[in-house]
Amino acid sequence: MIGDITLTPMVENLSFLFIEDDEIEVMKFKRSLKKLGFKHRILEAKNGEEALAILKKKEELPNVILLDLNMPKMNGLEFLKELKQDEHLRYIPAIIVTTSNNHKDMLESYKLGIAGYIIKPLRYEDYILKIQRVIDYWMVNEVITF
Amino acid sequence: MKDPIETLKLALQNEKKAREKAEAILLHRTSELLEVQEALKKKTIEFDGVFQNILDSFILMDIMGNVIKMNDAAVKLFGYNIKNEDFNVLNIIYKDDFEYAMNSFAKLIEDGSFENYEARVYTKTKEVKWVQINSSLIYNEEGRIIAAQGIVRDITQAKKDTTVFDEQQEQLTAIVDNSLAGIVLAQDRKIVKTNRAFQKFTQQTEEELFGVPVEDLSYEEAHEESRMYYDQMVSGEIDRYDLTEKYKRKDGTYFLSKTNVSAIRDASGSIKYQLAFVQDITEKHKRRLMLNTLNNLTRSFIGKLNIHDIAWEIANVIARDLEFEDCVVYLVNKENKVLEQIAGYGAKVDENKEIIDKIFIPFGKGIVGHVAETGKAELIHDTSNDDRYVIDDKRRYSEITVPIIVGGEVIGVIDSENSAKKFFTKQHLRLLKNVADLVSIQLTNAANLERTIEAESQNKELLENLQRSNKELQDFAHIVSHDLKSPLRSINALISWFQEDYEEVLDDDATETFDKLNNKLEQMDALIDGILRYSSVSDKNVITVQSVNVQEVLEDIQTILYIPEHIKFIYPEELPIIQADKTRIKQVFQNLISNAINYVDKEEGKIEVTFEEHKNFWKFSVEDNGVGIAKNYHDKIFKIFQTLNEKGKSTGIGLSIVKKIIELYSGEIYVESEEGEGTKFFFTIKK
Repeated sequence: MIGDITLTPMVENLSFLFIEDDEIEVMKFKRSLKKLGFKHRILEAKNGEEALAILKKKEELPNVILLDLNMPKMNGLEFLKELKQDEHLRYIPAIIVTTSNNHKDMLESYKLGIAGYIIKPLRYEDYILKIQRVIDYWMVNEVITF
Repeated sequence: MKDPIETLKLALQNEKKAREKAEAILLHRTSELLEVQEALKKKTIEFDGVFQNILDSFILMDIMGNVIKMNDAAVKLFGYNIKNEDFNVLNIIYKDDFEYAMNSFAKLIEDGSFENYEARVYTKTKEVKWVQINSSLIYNEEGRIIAAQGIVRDITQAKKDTTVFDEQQEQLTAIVDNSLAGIVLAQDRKIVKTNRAFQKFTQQTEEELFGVPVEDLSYEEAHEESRMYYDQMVSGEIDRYDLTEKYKRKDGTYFLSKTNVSAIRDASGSIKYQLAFVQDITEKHKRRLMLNTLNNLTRSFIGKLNIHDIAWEIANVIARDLEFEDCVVYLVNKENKVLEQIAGYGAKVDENKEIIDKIFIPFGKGIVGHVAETGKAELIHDTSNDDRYVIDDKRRYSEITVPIIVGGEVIGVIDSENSAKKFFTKQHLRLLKNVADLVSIQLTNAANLERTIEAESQNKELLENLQRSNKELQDFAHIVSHDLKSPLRSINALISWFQEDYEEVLDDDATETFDKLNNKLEQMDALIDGILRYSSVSDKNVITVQSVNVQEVLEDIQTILYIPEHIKFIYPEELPIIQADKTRIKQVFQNLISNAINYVDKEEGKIEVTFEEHKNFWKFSVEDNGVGIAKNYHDKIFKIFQTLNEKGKSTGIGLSIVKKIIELYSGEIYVESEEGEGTKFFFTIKK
């Protein structure tokens, strides 16, 4: 027990908060999941600001956050900083999904505390493979719920 | 006519009478001689007693110099003995003394006695001896000289002693008189004796100095100290002391002295005399003073970069250290052609360090204006003889004026005046010229420093700009590449979906077209990656210096790159371990090797890595037997986006990255190639 956080045993259906400003990327993620036959719940946010607004409502908190770094208004790193300052939200695993293999971005992200850093491959099929592995990984994990 | 017999008889008688007469005379003579002999005998006997009893030599001689009597001492002295031989004093006179001897003898005959005859004689053995003779004549009763007697003293030794003593005296006097140090002998602190040097120092004669209390000669400022030392000397605590004091001269001036006083004690230990050595250190002191002034100025100039600050230092230090009455520094105002007083010391300055009644001297006016115009220093002993002199607050008789010249131009003037005539010396002039030189150097340095600082700040700004540009470029590269990469990914996804969604209606041609499309996407992606890598080569944040085992690097590359079966990849068994960033070294080899793989066109391909160790660097080479590169492209290939391949096989970034990395390690890269034969890349990496 950490505060009012409870651990939920392995579940069939996880909920993801997918933070991405690019419409096609969102479609890619959704379509990948559909293709892979997953029935996970997906919350969408177009940028960090929107994502924070969703999270702060605390009506429905995701098990895992996937986010891009380059976004308008509030970028990925700014969002992470905000997230990590919240005494509850900070425990939600956040995974970066980005095209940037910039060393500095990577280092900064890990410093802020991320659960993974995934670089978007060029080929769609490679993308599907990566997403499958990430989701498989989180599906075998015990995750926390609030 | 007379009878002849008678005549003969008369002659005989005359003859008889004459003989009788002659006989009588002869008899008389003989008796006279007998008398003399008798008297001499008497005298001789008279003296005989004395004769034997005197230790000094005694001789008696006749007027011809024949010794007729001598005592034993005389025999011993002269070596002659009249008992055995003739002895005449004339024969023993030293040749140089002959004239003196004859004169003395004449005087003896004239006066009857001669005292303290001193001359040299030869003894029988031809030895030269100094003798002192006191002699007198001996007369007979009728007052006739019958002999001379003398007491002879051997003074050879005494004479020798006297000579030595005289010599020593002379030497000592020479030392004392020629001593550059003043020497003073005092008794109870009153002067007893002085040497020439001291007389010269004080401008007084020995007589004037005699009996003068020593304190009357020196300035009062050192009296207390002097008395203290003297008391300690009297009490026996010390035997000598040193003192620096000023001595008065007759003309009212003084000299600075380093005095060294020693006690001369009698047997009981009481002070009998005080012996003082007095050195005139006035000149030495002045020289040191000037040197100190120069030193003080040099020190005070440190950190002062403008003429105003420096001017105040000059005015104060010079006036204070050299005891000048005043010192004014002028600055040249080129526009108005005047000299402005910018710093001063003395009557021209009030307590707030402000110049009173500041005057502006036009060029060419007065001595200062003149010096400003000519650039030549002036030393004036009497300003009343100089028409150029301008009275500022009052007339002063001596003036010294020196220009400050920077870069061949007079920029200022240092000026000092003194109420006394002939106050300033050549030494002062030399010193002020040195000071002016110093100022010139300092101002030149200051100007240089200002320029350096300016240049440095410009450099700093440039560097900052460069760093900012670099950073911006990197950021730009990242953002652009992200923004470029994203659409590529979207396009790829969209193509895939299209292919998925319309799988049934798409024929092989369509599939081929989509494959080509995807291929282009891949090329574009690779290009973007290349740019990114290129832009991050010099990112200092990511450079590490580590030990890189080149063999491991090559082994890694073999697993990353696909090397076709027909290409042999060869490298030496022993490869060095170098100090660099592993990722970057890997990039270098990877780029060169993958290039080689791409361009091998022979059935049996070969790629070979070799290395040489040099004193300061490593030299590696990567050689292939591929298509080769034409000479005119050898430079071009290292430029970004330059590719010789039209088929879109390469991005044209690889070799640029390699070059950039090599340059990062202060290395060089170049290529040797024959078209159709192969290519060999050489690169060096600093050890």
